[in-house]
Order: sequence, then C-alpha cells, then structure tokens
Amino acid sequence: MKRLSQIFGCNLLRPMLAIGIAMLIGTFIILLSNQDPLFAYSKMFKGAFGGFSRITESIERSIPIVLTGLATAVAFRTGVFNAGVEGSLYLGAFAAFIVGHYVVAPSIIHVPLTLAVAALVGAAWAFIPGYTKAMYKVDETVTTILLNYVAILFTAYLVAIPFKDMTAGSQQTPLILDTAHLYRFLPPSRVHIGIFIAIFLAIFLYWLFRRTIWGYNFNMTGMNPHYANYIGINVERTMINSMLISGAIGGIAGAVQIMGILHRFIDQFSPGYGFEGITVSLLARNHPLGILAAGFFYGALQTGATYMDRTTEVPKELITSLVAIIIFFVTAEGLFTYTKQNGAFRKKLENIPGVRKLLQEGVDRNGHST
Amino acid sequence: MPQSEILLKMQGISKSFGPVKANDNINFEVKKGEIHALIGENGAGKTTLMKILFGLHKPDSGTIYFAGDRLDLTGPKDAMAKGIGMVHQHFMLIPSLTVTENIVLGSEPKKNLFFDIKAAEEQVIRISNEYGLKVDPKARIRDCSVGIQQRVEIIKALSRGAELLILDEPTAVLTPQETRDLFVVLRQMVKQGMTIIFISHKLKEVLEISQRITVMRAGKVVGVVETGATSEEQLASLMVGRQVLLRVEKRLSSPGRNILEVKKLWVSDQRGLPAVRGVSFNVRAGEILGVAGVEGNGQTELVEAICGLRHIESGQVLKDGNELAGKSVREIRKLGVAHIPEDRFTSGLCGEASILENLIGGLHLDTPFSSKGVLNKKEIQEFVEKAVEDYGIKVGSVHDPVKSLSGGNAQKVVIARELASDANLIVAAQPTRGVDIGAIEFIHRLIVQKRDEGKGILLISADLQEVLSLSDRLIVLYEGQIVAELVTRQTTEEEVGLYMTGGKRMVVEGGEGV
Repeated sequence: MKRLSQIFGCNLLRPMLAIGIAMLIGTFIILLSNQDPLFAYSKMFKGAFGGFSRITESIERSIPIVLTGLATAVAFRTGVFNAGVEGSLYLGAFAAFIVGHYVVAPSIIHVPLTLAVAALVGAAWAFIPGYTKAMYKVDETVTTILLNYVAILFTAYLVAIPFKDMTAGSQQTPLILDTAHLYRFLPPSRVHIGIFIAIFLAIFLYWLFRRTIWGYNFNMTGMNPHYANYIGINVERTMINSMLISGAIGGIAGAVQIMGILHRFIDQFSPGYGFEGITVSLLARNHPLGILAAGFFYGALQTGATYMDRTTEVPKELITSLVAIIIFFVTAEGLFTYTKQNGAFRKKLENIPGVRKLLQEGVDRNGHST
Repeated sequence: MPQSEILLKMQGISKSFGPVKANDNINFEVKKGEIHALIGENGAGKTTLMKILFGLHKPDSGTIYFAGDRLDLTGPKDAMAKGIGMVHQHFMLIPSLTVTENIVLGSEPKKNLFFDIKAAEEQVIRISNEYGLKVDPKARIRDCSVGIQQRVEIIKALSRGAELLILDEPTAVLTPQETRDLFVVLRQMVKQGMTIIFISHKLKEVLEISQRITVMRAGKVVGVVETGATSEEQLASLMVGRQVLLRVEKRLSSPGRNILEVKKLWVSDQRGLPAVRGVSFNVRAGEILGVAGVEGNGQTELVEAICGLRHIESGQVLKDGNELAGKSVREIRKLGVAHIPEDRFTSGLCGEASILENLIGGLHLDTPFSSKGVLNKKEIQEFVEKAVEDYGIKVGSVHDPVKSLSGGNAQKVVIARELASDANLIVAAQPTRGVDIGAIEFIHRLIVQKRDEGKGILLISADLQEVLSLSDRLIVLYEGQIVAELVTRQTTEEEVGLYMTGGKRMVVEGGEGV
C-alpha cells in the first residue's frame, strides 16, 4: 500500500475524500435540475466503466491527456509555467498530417518518422517562449497563451485554404496514408498503440527525472533556481531544454490523435487537451507515473460525463459544472493540509477503519511541508 | 538594589510541535531588577519559551506567574499590556517612517481626531533621556544604523510600559562598539528598575552583562548559575552536554604562492550602485585570509563576483593565474574554487530536495557521479554514505528533505559537498552562522585542516571573534573599500571594530595586494 502511494506520488485518501465532497455538492446540482442524483451518478459511472466499449472509450479519451499532462509536467518541474502545450499539439498534429499524407514509406518507417517530425515541430514552437523566458525573463504564461492563438489560427488557415479537402463540407484535410496509422489493437474500439507511446514516455520521464543530469537540473531549477545557478547548472539552458522536451511531447500528443483517431487534421479538433494536461499534471503533482493514473481518471470522468449527458435529463451545462467541481476538489491541495493541521478533524478521520494508515502515509510523504 | 523578589516564574512549561518536544517541563525564574541570560544552542527551546512568555505560543501545560499574578496570555498585545516587552532578532520597523512614528505605531497619541506628533516626540525624548537611549526622533529608520534601530525597538517596548524586557540575540547584529553601547544602556535600564531577559549564545557577552544564567539543552533546563560563579568552559559544556574546545588550535601559517589575486576589483550591487570599490588583495596557499566588516559593506558582492555569480565591472580576479571575469560558475568551479555561501537555504541548498540530492549538487555534472548524462547511482550512494559518516551529519534517511536538518547539519551538507571537489581555493562566507557550538568547533577545525593541507581560504564573517580566531591575516571592508590590512596576531577586537565602523582608516596602497 505504502509502495503504491509512493510510486504514484500522491496519497490516496486525499483524492478519494475530494471526490466524495465534490459528488456531495454535485448531488445538489443534480437535484437542482429535478433529476435523481443516484440515477445520474450511476449513468456517469456506467459511462466510464460499464463494459468493454465504455472502458475502451475512457482509455481512448485519456491517451492525448496523458501525453499533454507529461508535456506540461516537464516544464512545471523546471519552474516554467508552460501553458502552450495546446499550441505545440496543433502544430504537431498538422505536421503529422503533412508527413502522413505526402510521404510514402512502409509503416515501420512512416510511423516513427511522422512522430519525429511532429515532435520537432512541437519543440521548435515551444523553443520561442522558452528562449524569451530564459534569456529575457519574458513571462512565459503570457507568451505561451498568446502563441496558442497563433498556432490554432495558423492551422485553421492552413486547413481552410491550402490543405482543405475539397470533397468535404467542413474544414478538414484529406486523410493520411494507412501506413501512418497507429494500429488499433482492441477492435472494435479505437484504442490504438498510442497508449504504449504514452506509457513509454511516462516511464522515460520517470527515469529522466530520477537518474539523469538533465532530470536533476530540471528538478533543482524548478525548486530553487538560486541553488541551481550556484552549483554551476546553466539555468537558462536548462529552462530551454525543458521547454524543448515539453514541446516535443506536446507535438507527439497532437500527432497521436491524428494518426490514431482522426486520420486527418480537422480544424479545432482539440477540446483543449493542452489545458486538460495542465490539470492532470497538477493533479499528479508533476509525477510522470501519477499522470498515467490522473490522465485515465480525467478521461474516464469526461467519458462518463458525456454518457450522462446522453442518457439523463441533466442539462449539459450542469454536467460541465459537476466535472469542474470534481476536478477542483481533487486538485486543491488545501484540503489535505487541513486534515494535517486540524487535530480534531484528523482524529475523526482516524476513527474510520483503514484511514489512519493512509493518513500516516500522507504525513510520511508530506511531513516536511510544514 | 534588592534582587530577592521574584518577578517572573514559569512553572512546568511544556510545548510540543508534533513529535518534537520544544519545551519539556521547564521551570524558569527571573528576579526583579536583574539581567538574566538564557543560553542554549539553536533548537534548545529558548525561543519557544520566550514566545510562550510573550503570548505567541500557548503552552501545552504549565503556568506563568508574573508580578505575583497568574498569567494566561491571549497574545502579544495581552503580554504587552501586562508589562512584558520583546525585541526580536529581526527588527519590525518600517524603513520609510521616522523613529517617532515607528515607536508610537499602533498606540499613537491623539489630539482630537488627529495624530499628535508633538506629544509623540515628547514621549520618545522622555524615555530616551530616562534610560540614556539616544535617538533622533525625527530621523527616518532607513537612515539609522542597526544599533540605533535596536534602540528604537527597545524604546518602543518601554513606551508600552514594559517592566520585563526580552532581548532575543540582541548582539548578533551589532559591532563590538555598538555592543558596548548597548550594555551601558542595559545597565542603566536595570538601575531604573527594569528586568531583562537576555538571550544569546555568545558566552563572553553573557558573562559580562548578566547576573544569573539559565542554560537550556534539548528542550530542558540543564542549569541555573550565578554569573560570578561560572566560566565560559562550564557554560559551553552545559550547553553542548560534553567538553568543547572553544579556542581554535592552529599552528602559525606557512603561506606559499598566490592562489587568488584580486586587482582593483569593482562590483555593483542589485541596484547597480558600486558595492565593491577598487579592492585588491591576495590569498596564498596555506593561509586563511579573513574579511571583517559590518554586513552590507560589499562582502556579499565580493564573494559573488569571485564565484561567478555576479558581473565584474572592472578589475581582475586571477585564480592560479586564470582570469575569472566573464567565466561561468561551472568554469570557475572547474578551476578549483569551492564556495560555502552565506545564505544557506537561499542558494547553498535546495530545501525541498533530499539530503542526497544536495550532497551531489555540481558534482553530479562530472565523472564519477555521472557518465554520458546518466547519474551513477552506485557511486553517488557510496559518496553520500561516506560524507554522512565523515562529517557526522545526523540524518534519519538521506532521502529526507534537507530542510528537515538543523542549521549545523545543513551546513555540514554544504561543506561536505564543497570540499569533495578538492578545490584549492575555499571561499567560506559566514560558515558558522546559525550553527550550534558543536558544529562550529567541527567546522573551524576543518577550515584550519584545509589550510594546513596547503589550500587557500578566504573567510568572510560578520562574527569578529571568528575572523580573529581563524584567520592568519585579515582585511577590513568598509563601504566597499579595504580600510585596513592586519596580521591577526598583532591586532585586537577593539582595533578591528574601529576600522569596521569607519572610525579609523589605514592608508592602503592601491594596486598591489596585501
């Protein structure tokens, strides 16, 4: 048990408690629309986990989120607030369309090549705010958010005029070649081998953070740049390196969605994967393996919400609010801090069987943060 | 003066923070009209006890009697109303306001609805005269020296009607002269019927100023002694719990070639104003060059410039003949410069990171700790275990965050890392600040040992005793310039103190080093 919570970098009680409180509040929201909360929640749960098709849909939904979460985490670890993964994602996706559509090669070459080009494009895009942040101290939050618009609107232009599929009514490109597809290994579902790319990258980052010079430099620059500078780490280069990796993974996230699901570039294809990545990364406290879990949780939540929308009378707006509340509570760290400081509240919790142990683990892990 | 009456009685005070017992069944008594010293290492529980007395912490158990009445304090305001005042180590003054404004802040005399500045100033002057605390009521705090600021804090406490004054390490920030002035004031105050609790870990001062001494160790009172009947050695061993060596034992130095040559160095501070102004000196192999001076006279900027953390405006810094200006921190470190920084937790360590990670900082960039960008786990583990062992760093696990360590142990982490690179120039800034006596002894011996191994050491310290007892030669910095170059054996604390405050100045030949 202890192992598990250590590996995933977060304590299990906190998110569970948070989900509980959020659902309690959600109950009132659902009652507000004159619906039966129990029924609505059961639909939500069924939507996310009820059977093969539902679970695979949750997985499919979580692949891009895990990737954008990982992209975000690399930058966050280094103390760079990269809100621009969405931009890298769009440009990477478009690059994947170009390579996937125009290059002719056997699958074994075509797939890695497409991913590599998308990664390069994503990295190049992230380099701009990374460089200005490191060298000129330009606030990266502002630049990355603004550059998102540039990337999204630029691809919107590309797909509207030069690369538009003339046979289609909507703004989309022609299909990419079959050789650039990511293999769907759980038919009839659309779950594709992009999931292994996500898992591989999560493990790779876990290794990178723990066992490499770059990882050490990322962590120290993020936690205390004065210290990093003093021991001889080139803080500026470290920030740029971290943005390059972040952007590359962001580009891969876009490419994976094109190569695995859409098979073409579609205008506005992302419901905000880049921003969902921020949530997921925060949820997992920038821990790569934690992001796998958090990403799946997020994907399942979205899938369940969509299902709830289809099968109940609860208005869509309220469902969106409900999801937001759950995310809000799970992400908020304050709650756990509260249990740590408030003795009475803590004692009550400790009386619940099994909770004492969980709390103890939390303190072991977080005891230093007082 | 009658000293028999007990003014303050703290009985059976206990206070825990989580599993740590900061105060464990403490009994503490102060007689009316005495200066009572409270001494102990960092973390012994002095501050906790005083915070309880000042109403900042609630004790878990125990009672306080003050002037015969039982006290149940609800907060500092309450404590002040009852006649207890406290001057904190870090002053709580507003730099842009005047002395008077700071003193009356929160209890301003009013005339109708308006602030009566006249009455306020009269009040300040009255207290100032009564106790011999000379201040200019109209001066702005930002223009006042640290010594004056401290007086302002004391007057502030007195103006709230304090009968018992707690001074938390009052001399830590003062020059020897200012300390002497403070002692005159304190004696004057006691004559007027004031009672003072004097917290310190400088034993000499405690012996000089107090009538009685309470010694704390690990949350307990381990001794209450009459000042006249004790000695520095006895107090030190009470504090530490074993015999300690107070004198630094060292042979005469036998310096060799120049390791560091600084020539006409100019460095600017944060605001772009010149902080180091044309400084020249040398550090030779096998010697300790001390840099004395009141803090803020260019020491920080000097160190940062040498170590590559700050831009050099003009002049030269030569390490074994290599120009350091324009080189990166990494390049300078590779040339054999180790740096123990003054602000341990700002730059010297990464508090959130583990002890292990902090021990390998900088070293991780080179073999054997890494190769081809990958950290070498086995080498690191061995090195860390050895460092913890060799330096006697008390750790639970090397994977704990470094900020969980005490000041002394945290500093040992810094030192273990810096000395591991085997650099032949060691720049040590405030190496024992906030470190307990046991660790101070260890660090001092280590510095002397490195000197004897033929390394050059540049020692910057605001603690004059430390500079005097460790260094072979010393320079005094005042307003960014060297105002004196002295051979340590041939000078005194008083003389150095005079130079430090700008009261005296040697004609120092420019250009060439010492």
